[in-house]
Amino acid sequence: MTHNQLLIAANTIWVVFAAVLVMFMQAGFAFLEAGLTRMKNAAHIAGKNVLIFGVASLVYWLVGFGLAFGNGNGFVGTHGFAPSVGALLAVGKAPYAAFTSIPGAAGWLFEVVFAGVSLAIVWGAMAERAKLWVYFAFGAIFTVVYSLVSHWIWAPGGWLQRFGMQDFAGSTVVHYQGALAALAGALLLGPRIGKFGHDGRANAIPGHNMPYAVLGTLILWFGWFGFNPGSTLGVVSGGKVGFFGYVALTTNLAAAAGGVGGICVAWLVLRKPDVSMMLNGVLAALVAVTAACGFVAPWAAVLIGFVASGIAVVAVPLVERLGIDDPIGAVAVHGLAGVWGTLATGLFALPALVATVGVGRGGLLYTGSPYQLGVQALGLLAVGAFTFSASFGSLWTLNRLWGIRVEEHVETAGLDVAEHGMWGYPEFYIPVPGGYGTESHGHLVGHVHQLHEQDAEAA
Amino acid sequence: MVKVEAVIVRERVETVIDAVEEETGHVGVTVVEAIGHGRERGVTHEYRGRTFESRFLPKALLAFLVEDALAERVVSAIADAARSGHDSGDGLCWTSPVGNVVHHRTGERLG
Repeated sequence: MTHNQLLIAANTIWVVFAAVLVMFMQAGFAFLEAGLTRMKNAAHIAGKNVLIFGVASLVYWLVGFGLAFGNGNGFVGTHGFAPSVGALLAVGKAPYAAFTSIPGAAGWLFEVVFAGVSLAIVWGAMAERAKLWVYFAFGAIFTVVYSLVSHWIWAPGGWLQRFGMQDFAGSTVVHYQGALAALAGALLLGPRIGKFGHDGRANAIPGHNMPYAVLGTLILWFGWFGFNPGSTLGVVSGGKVGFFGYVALTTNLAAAAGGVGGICVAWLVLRKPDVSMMLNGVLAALVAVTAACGFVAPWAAVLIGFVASGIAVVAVPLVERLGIDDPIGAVAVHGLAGVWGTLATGLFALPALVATVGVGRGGLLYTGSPYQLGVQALGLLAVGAFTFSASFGSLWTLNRLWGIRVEEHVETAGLDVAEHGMWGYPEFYIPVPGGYGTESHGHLVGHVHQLHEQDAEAA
Repeated sequence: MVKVEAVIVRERVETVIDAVEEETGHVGVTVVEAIGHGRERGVTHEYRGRTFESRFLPKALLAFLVEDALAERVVSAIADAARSGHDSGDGLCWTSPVGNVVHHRTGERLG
């Protein structure tokens, strides 16, 4: 093999490995979201992560990847839909010339798991009350919206990319966008039954399994080592071999500061070292450092993570006070922390690291120039306007046509039994064959077996 | 004192307790999560395309200890609030006389 082939091999190993780590974040979301919601919806909420990753993958294969990374203009990719085998195996060639040192297929895999993460965020704020078909319909629509914005910021020649917008792994592209759609969904769905009292005060609806939420957060933290460091898209960045190791370090420092910050701020502000707020602190910190991780010094990563955790702790109750029911806290954790991380990059981007990554300019703190901060703000405004209005508009239309919220009796009974005909924890609700409390009606179980045998014979 | 007991569907627990408090002023209840069945004899579920029967349905057993004079109004309040309009499964309510009711904290004998 030539030197160049070896480099492509090393890059591909790293990018595919990182993609697999990011894919596992769906497991993190499944546990986090199921843990922070009620038992009667647990199977639905965990299971929907499988469904939406399926929807996102298919849509991304047909159109998303072409819109995002196919050759095109500054606003949209116009090539590379339902890609051919040749296009997927080629390295650094049209229509996926954006990936200069890995095959198109590795690029697709790495980018589709990001689309899946962004879509997973959406449902956090819409949990426990959206109809099942909405996941199919809006999942497809959002994947397209996501792909357009990721073209603006990440594709070579995208209009925000040309300004030099610094969003290393997607505080804006992935997290802020997911949160904007989540906000639109939460506004249109309205609060869950019983969330707000007659006087408008918010009631707590506690999540049913805090260890699940802890496990989900740890899985997300783990997956983030693919998310941020993998966004180097190779093992050499700007002449620095193994630069992704540095990105992993800043990522971990921010998350650590977020966890410590989250529990301390909650202790001070809410007067209890709330475990779920510690988890929100970790996630908000990871969201915030996602834009900054390749651009900032270690101390800045710590600061970014710490501030993000404070934002999460204060903003989760604030969002509630506005009358918005966001069961997981997606708007605060992914939205506001995403905004903070994007702006913080414009403040703290270290010129030497900017040169290594090769996007944008040094931050306000080092250069004294507000240029980079302005670009970051411009990106946030443009994405905010586009993604929020596209999400709100499409969900509003779906709602007017068919209604996106489940009936009251479905919500009361729980989505598990009402939408899927099963429970996450059946033995808690009904005596099941072989389960607790079934000793007395073994005859019924036998009877059902007989019925099935008769059915089989008749067939 | 009279013990008013009611078997109701679990979704109605708070509705029924609120109704008793609003209509009679009585405060205080014990809630027991229960399973059982009436004339509908349980329910058939499906799991992965296979049906299985469950003889019991989830219910709640409420117990109120009330002054004799209040008993009838408490019963009416419960019955009205527990009625769902479904064909079956709303449950029953009944009363029984009780004695030696003692308030633990004060030692007071209530009747």
